[in-house]
Amino acid sequence: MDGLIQLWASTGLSNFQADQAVMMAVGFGLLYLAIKKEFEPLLLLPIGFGAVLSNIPTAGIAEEGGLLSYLYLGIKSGIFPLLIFMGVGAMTDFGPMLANPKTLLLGAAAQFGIFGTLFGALALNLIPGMNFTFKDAAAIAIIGGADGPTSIYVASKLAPELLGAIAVAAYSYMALVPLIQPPIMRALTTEEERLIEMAQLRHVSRLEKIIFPGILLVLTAMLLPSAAPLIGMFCLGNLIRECGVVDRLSKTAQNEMINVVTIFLGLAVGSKLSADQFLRTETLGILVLGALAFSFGTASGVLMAKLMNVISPENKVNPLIGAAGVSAVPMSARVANKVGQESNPHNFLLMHAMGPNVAGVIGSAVAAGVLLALVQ
Amino acid sequence: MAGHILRINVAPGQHVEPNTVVIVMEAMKMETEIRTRAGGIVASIAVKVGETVASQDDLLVLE
Repeated sequence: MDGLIQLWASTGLSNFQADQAVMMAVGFGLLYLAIKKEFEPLLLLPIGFGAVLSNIPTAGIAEEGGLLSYLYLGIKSGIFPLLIFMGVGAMTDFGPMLANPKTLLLGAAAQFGIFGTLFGALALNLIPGMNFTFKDAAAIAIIGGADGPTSIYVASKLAPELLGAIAVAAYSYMALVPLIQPPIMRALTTEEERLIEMAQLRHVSRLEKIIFPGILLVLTAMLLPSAAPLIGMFCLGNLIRECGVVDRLSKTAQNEMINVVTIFLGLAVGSKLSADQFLRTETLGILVLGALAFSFGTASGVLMAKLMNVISPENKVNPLIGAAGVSAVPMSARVANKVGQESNPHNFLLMHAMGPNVAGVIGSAVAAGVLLALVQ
Repeated sequence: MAGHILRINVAPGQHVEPNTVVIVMEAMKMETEIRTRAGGIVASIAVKVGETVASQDDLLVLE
């Protein structure tokens, strides 16, 4: 009889706590979104599964010494998000941005969402139950950069206890880009503006593409060393891609390496989805702020494009491509293209939108560096 | 725009109306429809399905 009681005491059922059950349900919910709705499945699937695993009672998979606690070291040390950034660098073609450098401004403008959210997060402290320090606010605000690895990197440095919620919010909103952005883009532009056709992009030489990551790195080293880890790995990946002599490394960085790291990163993020860290009023605040940050970034990108048209009316940009300044590569560029074609089916904005889109990646890394420099 | 040709919906000699989808190409993992600006008869098609094209390449000639 004693043996039976002991056996019962070691089962999951007898040890289940309500909050673990809720978090497992959250994990299964993420799996549902990933598999059925195809919301960022590459990340939400491992995150959801990690959440389920880490909430199994008594197994202690995410606790000190458990498998996921070791994987989490990859996030804590910043290694995983930085390796992902290297892979993203290897996948990024700066051609459209180099062909039309003023799209850099659009990528920069869309980062206003980050700083707007920073103040939003601090303002939420007025609501009872919310308690964000400046570090927390900075980590949440970076969601507005619409860049997963950057968000995770900053959160791991500034607010590790919010990391799970921030990562889930960042990736969920990225999946929702095609729903969040178009209404804002339509509201802020006139039909006439959406009809603007842009001149074909000039050809960008290989030399320009090779020199660019070098210039970017030197500028970062001189002006914003706190962004150097992110930008440095990004430039390395991009140089591997563009130099043309290490195709094998380029392929590996773009495929195998980034895939392996993505699995580990997702599981490690999932391990942070524990009840005591996720089931808090702050999580709701993060979700609301994340949506605001995205919308704000989209709006400021579009408005910046309109401003540019006022300043230089002879070479107009279609303001829709401003929305692609929030990174979310290449989803937001696709959205710009799609909304543009609703007005004019002969208008191909995709490559034009890739300019602000890749500029947005640099922009959010720079914004991350600014926030890190401000706080530390 | 660079990408590759996914489908060709017309054949040489065919009459097309303005705004017809003649070619569907894929770039950035997204399908893009190429529509005619004017109607006419397809004189020749310069590309094949699966072919990779660069920006400024001719796809098809209308008469």
